[in-house]
Amino acid sequence: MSDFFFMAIGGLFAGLLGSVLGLGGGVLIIPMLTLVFGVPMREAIGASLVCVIATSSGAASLYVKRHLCNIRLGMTLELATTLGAIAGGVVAGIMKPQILSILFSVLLIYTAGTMLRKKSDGSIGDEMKNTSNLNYGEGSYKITHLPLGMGASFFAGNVSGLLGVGGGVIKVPVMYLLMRVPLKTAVATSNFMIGVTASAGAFVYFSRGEVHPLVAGSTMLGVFLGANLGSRLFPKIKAEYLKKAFVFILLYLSLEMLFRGLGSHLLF
Amino acid sequence: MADKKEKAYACVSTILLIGSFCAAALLILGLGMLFFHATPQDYFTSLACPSLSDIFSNLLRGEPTAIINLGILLMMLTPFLRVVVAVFSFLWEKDFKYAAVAFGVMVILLFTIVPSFI
Repeated sequence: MSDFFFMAIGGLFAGLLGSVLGLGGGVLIIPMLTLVFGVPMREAIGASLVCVIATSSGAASLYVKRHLCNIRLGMTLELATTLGAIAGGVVAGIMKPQILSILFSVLLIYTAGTMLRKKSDGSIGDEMKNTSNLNYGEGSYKITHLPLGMGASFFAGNVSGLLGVGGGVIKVPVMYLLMRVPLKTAVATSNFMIGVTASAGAFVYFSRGEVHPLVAGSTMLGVFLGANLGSRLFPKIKAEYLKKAFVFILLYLSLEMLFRGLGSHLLF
Repeated sequence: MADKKEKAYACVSTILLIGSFCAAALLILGLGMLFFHATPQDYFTSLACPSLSDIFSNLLRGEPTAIINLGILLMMLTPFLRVVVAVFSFLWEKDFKYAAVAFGVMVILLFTIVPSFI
């Protein structure tokens, strides 16, 4: 039982850290569950998807209220992300857990890379916080490359369903760089979509019995409290140094997941 | 028009908040019950793959894991409810194109939700 207590505590920290750094919980939760608690990879993914829903429900309700998000664009892209998530979830059921672990380590490296890059064009978190124009959601910008964006969204959904993350690290650049959506709107719309995408994937795991009530329940409770606390306690924190330090942690976790996939251990 | 939109947005936010806080409350209740009178059973195998009828029959017996499962399910269903609300609010705004889009998303979600309840 004490394991589940510590999972909740770990979830709390993942939620706090995630909301401060602008990361979804999944990137932290899966390494925590598999490496520290020895939860099987697929059960960890199932739990993580539930946690992603919990984080995004809290966050999205804030953003929707502020009208930052473009619900029409979000809905359209969700057609692709949900299908992608289901496909990813089904494929994950066939794949060896070791392969999933290796793929996850690649995703961690990519996430670390995006965190390094964010610094140069102003962090996404700061963009969100300095918002003065609140009627931004469906404003005067013109969306380009919709078909390509749909394809990329399918891929983002696929990654979400396969590896148990929200996929914001893929959706935001797709909307911002490819579809020319303003950054604030891209972030808010991605947050709005993440919950729906993750739930499409989560039900695939649920129907396979891979959403373990105690693992998912205790982690989700921790994450939910952590994310809510984080967004209320530190809405204006300057996280630049924390982010830089965090890149190393992500790289370390990536190595650890890679070794786990290859059947050996680094430190744990 | 703007007023209607305002209401629809507020409604979506409220659903998300109520759903997720109810789910969290159920989790606190269920986990709390387990924590204070845990029985020596193997937590990793008990009820790992519940069907909906299992959950409800265990719920009636006051089984803590069933309460936890219900909380998890509620959390997993909040995004779906949000999409359902979106369908109706687009219809209300007479925006039939996006009502159809949201309806499409709803159908896709139903494809994964329904099999896990059978």
